[in-house]
Parts: sequence; C-alpha cells; structure tokens
Amino acid sequence: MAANQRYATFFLNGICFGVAIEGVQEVLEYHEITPVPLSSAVLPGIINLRGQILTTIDLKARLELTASESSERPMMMVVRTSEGPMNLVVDKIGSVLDVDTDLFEKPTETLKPGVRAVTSHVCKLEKQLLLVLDTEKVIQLPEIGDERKTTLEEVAR
Amino acid sequence: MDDLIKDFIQESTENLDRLDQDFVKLEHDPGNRELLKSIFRTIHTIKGTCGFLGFTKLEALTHAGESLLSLLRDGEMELTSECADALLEMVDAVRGYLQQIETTENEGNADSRGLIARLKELQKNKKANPQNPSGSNTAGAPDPPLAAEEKKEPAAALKEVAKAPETTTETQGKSEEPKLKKMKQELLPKRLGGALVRKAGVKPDDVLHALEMQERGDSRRLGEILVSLGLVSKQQVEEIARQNQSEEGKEATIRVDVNLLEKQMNLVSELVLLRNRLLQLASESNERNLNTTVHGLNYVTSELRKNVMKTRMQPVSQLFDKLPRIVRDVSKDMGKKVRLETQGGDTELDKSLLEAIKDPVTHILRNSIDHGIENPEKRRSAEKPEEGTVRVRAFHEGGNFHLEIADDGAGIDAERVTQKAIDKGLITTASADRMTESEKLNLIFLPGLSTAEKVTNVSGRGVGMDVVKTNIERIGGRSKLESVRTRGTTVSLEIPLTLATIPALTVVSGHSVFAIPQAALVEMIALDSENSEKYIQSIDGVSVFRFRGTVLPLMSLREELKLSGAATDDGIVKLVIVRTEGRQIALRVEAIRNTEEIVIKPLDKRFKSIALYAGAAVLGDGRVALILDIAAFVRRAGVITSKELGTTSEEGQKAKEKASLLMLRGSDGERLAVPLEYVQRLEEFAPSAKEPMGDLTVLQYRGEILPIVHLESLLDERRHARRTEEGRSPQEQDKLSAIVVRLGESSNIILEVHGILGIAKVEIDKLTPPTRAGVRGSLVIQERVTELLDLPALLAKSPSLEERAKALIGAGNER
Repeated sequence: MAANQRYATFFLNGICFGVAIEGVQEVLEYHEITPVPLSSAVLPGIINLRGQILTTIDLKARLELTASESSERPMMMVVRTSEGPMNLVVDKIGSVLDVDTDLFEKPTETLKPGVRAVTSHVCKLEKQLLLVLDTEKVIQLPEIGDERKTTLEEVAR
Repeated sequence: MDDLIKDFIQESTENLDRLDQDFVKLEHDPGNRELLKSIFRTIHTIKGTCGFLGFTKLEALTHAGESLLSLLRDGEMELTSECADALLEMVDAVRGYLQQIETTENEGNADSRGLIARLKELQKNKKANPQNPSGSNTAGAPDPPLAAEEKKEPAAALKEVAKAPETTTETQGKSEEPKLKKMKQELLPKRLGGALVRKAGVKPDDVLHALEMQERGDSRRLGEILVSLGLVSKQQVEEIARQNQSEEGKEATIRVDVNLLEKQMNLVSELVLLRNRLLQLASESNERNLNTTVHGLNYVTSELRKNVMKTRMQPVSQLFDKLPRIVRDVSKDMGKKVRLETQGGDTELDKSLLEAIKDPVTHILRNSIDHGIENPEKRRSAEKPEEGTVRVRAFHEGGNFHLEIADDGAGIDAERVTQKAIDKGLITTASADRMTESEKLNLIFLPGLSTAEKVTNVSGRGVGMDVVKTNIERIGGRSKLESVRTRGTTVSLEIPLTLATIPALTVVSGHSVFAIPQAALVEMIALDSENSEKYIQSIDGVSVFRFRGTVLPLMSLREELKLSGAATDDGIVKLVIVRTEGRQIALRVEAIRNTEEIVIKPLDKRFKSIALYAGAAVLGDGRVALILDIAAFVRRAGVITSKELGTTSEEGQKAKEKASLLMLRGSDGERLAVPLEYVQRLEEFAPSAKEPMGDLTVLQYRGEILPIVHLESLLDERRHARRTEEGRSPQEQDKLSAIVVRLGESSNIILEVHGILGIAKVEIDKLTPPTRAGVRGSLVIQERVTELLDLPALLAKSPSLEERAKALIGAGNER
C-alpha cells in the first residue's frame, strides 16, 4: 500500500535533506546568532525568535560535513522536537515534496557516518536523492566538553 | 495518572500539612475537641478514599489511626506525648505512601505493621472509667463531651436525644455517623439557613427545627419546610437562595495546575518584552491611531502582568504552618523547651521563592533550637525562662520580602567560630586578628564550618549556614546574622518579591552582551592606565586587583570566555566588582551598557556543562544576552581566594598600602582620622537645620531624614572637664561641619565634626594601640599624632544609632 508523506526539504553542500512537514514549525531568514562562548561548533549559540530563546544547531557541523564556502546567507529551519523547538542552520531551503513511502530505502553504507547516524530513510527521486532526517536523533548531542569521549566511543563502535 | 488519584493525593497532602499543625496545637491544648474533630475528619476522609481506590495498606494504617483518634475525640483517652508521637509518625507514614503513590501509582513495599500495632496498643490505654460517671460503653449513651455541649445548644441537644435510641442499635464502627451528620448540620445554617436568619428574620431555632425534621427523614428541602411552617414566604426563600448562590460564586476558587501558571507567567513576560519593542517602534512613528492603540496595549499588558504575578503570590503562612511540627520534633529530641511565635503569616511571596526558602528557613530554625536555645537547666541558671522562644517574623520592606528568625538562646561565640575557622584552615590567624566582631560572626557562613561541639542528628554536620547563604543568594536574596552573647541570635533573610524579572547590569565584551544580576553587583570601577598599573597586579601569574585594602581575584571576561572580536580598548580598564557566597571578585569587561529588567530564560541543557551561564535574556532592544552565573565565576577564581588571599594581602601590607584618610580636627585641637571609604560627602549645615525626632537629632538632607550626631559625643572624653563652646570660633558656630557617612547601601548618617582638615594618603604600617574606645589606634600623619577612628565601633556606642551602626558593620564587612 503506497502512502504519501510530505517533506520540507533543504540543502547542505548541495545534498537534499528532508524533514517530515509535521515536524517543521517554520522557516526563517537568517537571524543573528548570539554566540554562547565556550560552546562547540555544532551549537554555535542561541537566537531570539519573537522573544523566545532557541538553541541553534549548525546542521553541517552536526552531520560532520565540510563547512562550505557558499557566499549565500544561510537559512534557518525551526523544527518541533520532544524538547521544544530547535533551530537548524541550513544552506538553502527547498520545496515541499510529496513522497511515496514505497520509495523509502534504508540509509546505505556509503553515507558518511555523521550523516548516516541521523538519517532514517533514503529516497531515490527522479532527479536527486532525498535523505530523510530523524530530528530526534539530530538533537541528541554529546554534552559540550564530552565531545572527545564520544568520538572515541564512536570509533570503538 | 488517574485524575481521581491525582486529586486524592493533592487534597490529602494539603490536609496532612494542616494536621501537623493541629497535632502540635493539640499537645498544648489536649482537650480541644474542635482540633480533634478536624484531625479525625481528615484521617477519616483519607481512609475512606483509599479504601475506594484500593490502597489497602494505607487504609489499614489510617484505620488504626482513626480508631485511636476516635477514642481521643470522645474523651475516652487523653493525648499523651507518646500518643502524639505515634500519630505524627502515622501522618509521616501516610505522607510516604502518598509520595509513593504519586510516583509509582501503587503503595510500594513500605511496611507499617509495626506502627499499626503501636497504634492499636495505645488504644488499650483507654480509660477504664471514662468521664461519663455511668461508665457505660461508647456506643450506648450519648458521648459525655456532647452532653457538655447540650447546655450551650438546646436545639442540638434535643437532636442528640432524639437520636440516642438509634445510636444504641448501631455498631461501634458506625457510631461516628450521628456526629458526622451533626457536623453537616453545623455547616448548613451557614448556608441557606444562615442567610434566611440574616435576611428574612427567621429565628435560628426555627431553622434548627427544620433541620431536625430533615434529619428525621423529611425529604423536603430546608426552604420548603420553612415555607410550609409559614415562617417565611416562598418568594423570599427563592430570592435569598439565588443571592446566596451568587455570593458563594464570588468566593469560589479553582485549583490551577502550577505548570499552567508557570507557562502563563512566561507568556506574559514575553508579552511585556514585545510591548516594550512595540512602544519603541511606535514612538518612531507619527501614526496617531497606532500610538493610541499601543498605549492601550501598554496599559492592558501592565495590568495583566500584575494580575498574573498576583496569582503566583502565596502567603508565607504556608511555610509557617510547617514550623510548629519541626519545633516540636527538634526540641523534643534535644530535651529543650521551645515556644514558637510567628508573625506576619499573611505576607505574600512568589510561590517558587516560597518553595526555595523552605529548606533554608527550616535549617535556620533547627539551628536555633539545636545550638541557640539552651537546655532548661542552663536557662534557669542564666535566669532566663525555662522555655526558650523562637520568633519568626515576615514582613515587606523596601520592595523586598523579609524574614527574621530570632531566638533568645545563648548567642554565638564569635571567638569560637574564629578559632574553628583557623583550625580548619579556612582563614589565617593574621587575617582573623584584623577582623571585627561581626566579621568573625559571619565566618559561620563559610563552607565547611560547623561549630557544634557534638554532631547531633539535627544539625552540625558541617553543611549548614553556608548552604543557607548559597540558597538564599541563588534566588537573589541576602542573609545576615546578628548575635549577642547570652541574649540570642537573629538571622535575617531579604528576598526579592518575585523572580519573574530581575534587575541586571548589561556589559559588553568582544561584541557580546552579558547580563550580571544586580543582586551580585557591588561596584563598577573605571581605571585609567596609570591607576590600572598601580592597582592591578599579577601574583604568580594570577591577576589581582587591590580594592580598598583587600586583594580581589581579577578575571577578564574576554579571557575566561575565550572571546574573539576586537577589543574596544579606549585605555580605560572597566571592572565590575561582584560578590556572592561572601566572596568578591573583580570582572574585567570592555564596556558597561546599562541596567535593565530582564526575564531569565533557561539555557538549553546542552550548554549546562559550560557552567558559567545562569540563563539568557532578551533585552529591550531585541538583542540576546547571556546571564553570567556569578557564583560559578567566583568558584572558578576560588583557587586564590581562601588561603592564598591571606598571604597575598599580607604581602600587600608589607608593601605598605596607602590608605586615604579624612583628617579632622577635634575640639582640643587634636587630630582625628576617618577612613575615606566610609565618607560619602562633606557638608556644612546651619545649626538650626537640626531637628529633634524621638531620642535622635535628625536633619533633612537631599529628601531624606538622617540622624545627626556629634562625633565627639561618641568619643570618650579624655579630659575630665567638659568641652565648652569657647573652643569654637564664631564662624564655626553659624555653620557646622559634618560628614555624611555611608551606611550599608541605602541609609546614611551625618556625623557632626569640629573641623575638617583635608584628605591625607598615608601608609598605615604600624598603629600604636588605642587609648580610648572607638579608636583603632594612633599614627603619625604630617608630623602630628593622629587617632584613627573605628567608625563601626564608635557608632555602636550610641544606643539609638545601634541599628544603623549594625548596618554599617555589615557593609564594612562585605567591602
């Protein structure tokens, strides 16, 4: 039985990622990030969204992708998570795609480990590949200061 | 969780809190039937409900308690302290069960069979021959206490008599029934019946009569009965019933989930911020309609905020209600006699703050009883009443909530505290020698200091007053301790009314804005390059700042937070002196913005391990500022605060620090000096400006009324001859010179002096010992022997100034 699922898509270094549309609160123009000193590259700081303080995740750093030299201003996508709204920094916002769940495949081994860890499915679309992110996994971050330990653990795994 | 269970737990917990208090009251007044009834009712309700919900263990326990209580209530037993203990233990056990149920939804494995057995055992102590001379058993005849009531309430008595045959046929367990019904009847007249009496002129006896008819099986409603008896018209009854209902509606309250209130408060705080921004935007626009609308919004927002804050305010009596039980338990443990007096129970405080001061207050109270109040023998030999008193007083003052806990115990031996601190290596002997009495007393707030000679299970485990201080400071409050040997100790807490918004200083470093809670702020200092070289030094690679004779650790925000971005270096070093947990540090920032009211928002837990931020806040201009956790900075600087500071400041002494002194001329031409840090201003007044007020002489100064006192009236006269007016020149007589002395943060005092000579910067290396009280010692300044005054000690000599001097001592301490 084929079912359709809608995804809000965005790009990181030209790769197309998607988040289930229900999990997206809003898409923002780039807001100034207030840096939290001594934090990590993944968590550069916080933003003020209508008086609410949102933690910002640099998604590229989170997925261990190389920081691009893109001259364009990045965009922001606020996702709903079990811990409240979280702000993700992405390169570019794409369109909303209606995807047939039959096209879902498991993330392949060839994906970079940082990407694979948070990708729930892969969809082969006509023109491109869509990587569907599990936002709950995205927000599960090692505590700042514990990074080295975690990478070691990952290596051990 | 099941709503029913939730309601049950909430209601029972509240009732249990009241029980604690009732029991303690009961011990002082064992015959009080009202109290016994109320206790019985609570336990009975819990028993009934948990039976219904299937909590069998809890039911068994409350049943045992209830049976004992019913004997007490009916006067068949007297409340012994043993009995009270067991019942209190039962209350605690019930509370334990309730907590267990709240978390796991079942009763858990707690076993209270021992307690149940004890409660049953106690029931055997029932008087063989109850007050009723007939000696008949419980269920048979009307209860003796009820018989006593008959005299007061003929109608009620009638009712009881009417019921008597019914009662005899009932089983023991149901013997409560008539009494419960009676209770119901006592309540009823307060409702419709009461209103009819008040408004329709119905006689109280007639209402009671109608109630009795209902009791005997008349199924008609009270109003109907009264109408049928022709005592009142139907219309009147309907009218009054309607009024009554709307009146009840007015008094109605609803239970609201605290989380919901919390959310509401956050939303209102956000609304306030949005309004602030909108106001700013509207002020830039010429649109008239927009402006009026925004001002309307402004007003509504302020009102809304005020009201939402009000919903969170709770009377401090909620906390006070828990104290009698603590006093009872602790004093019993310690074999002491202690009376608790509370005052100002209706003083209100934000709910979360009330919660936050609960532990510190409990701790202080335990301390007062454990360490403060002496045992009865000692008190007797000290000619004090055997029963010690602890007074807990709450009040609002200066926009803050104040709480004082005062005992009339032995007081604190400052020397012993000091010795202890030295023994534990918390301070050096040298620094102890320089301390004032009050400073020594306040050592009690140092972590790891406990003066209890023996560790009791009440207090004295080395965690103590420092935790109190930390907890109070965490919510932006202050704590202070005063003690007089043999007369007692007073601990005062000062707490902001609400945590919703706090005043904060915003500073800038490396393009980021940071907020420092005002409660931690001591002073801001700007130093030019010449002075910064002089006052900022490096000891073993650690920067320190010399601040009025002390050496403070200096931390740079830029370095600590590894900030990037060009420094806005205008050659002026800006320091913010902050204080928490009794320690001060200097924080170097790059710019100081302003102070504003901020709403603290929690930071994501992912940032928690950085441990230097207390949260974030959106500022009025929409920027986001991180709030610095001053306690964390102070702890970080802790390496050089405790022991090393002692040595560094001694080095500082060796380097012969220069102190600024205000030089004064005495009436005999002698030279006096006052440390400049106490002096706020030098003034001249006309003698006529002095006005008497009570036993003080006061002066109106800059919109304030300040006490004025002649410096030399405080000093012991060295010559025996009285000082005369001759010594003064005519010019001095129509203008009197005075110095305004800084006292604490808000209040000042004016010291009238004979003459002001000027300011001298001198090296205070060696003081010749003082020859009179109120003097720290003598030294030679400008080739003249000069007495250096000890202002706190001096002011303490004047009894009417004592209070103000205490404030000064406190302030001097913290500096």
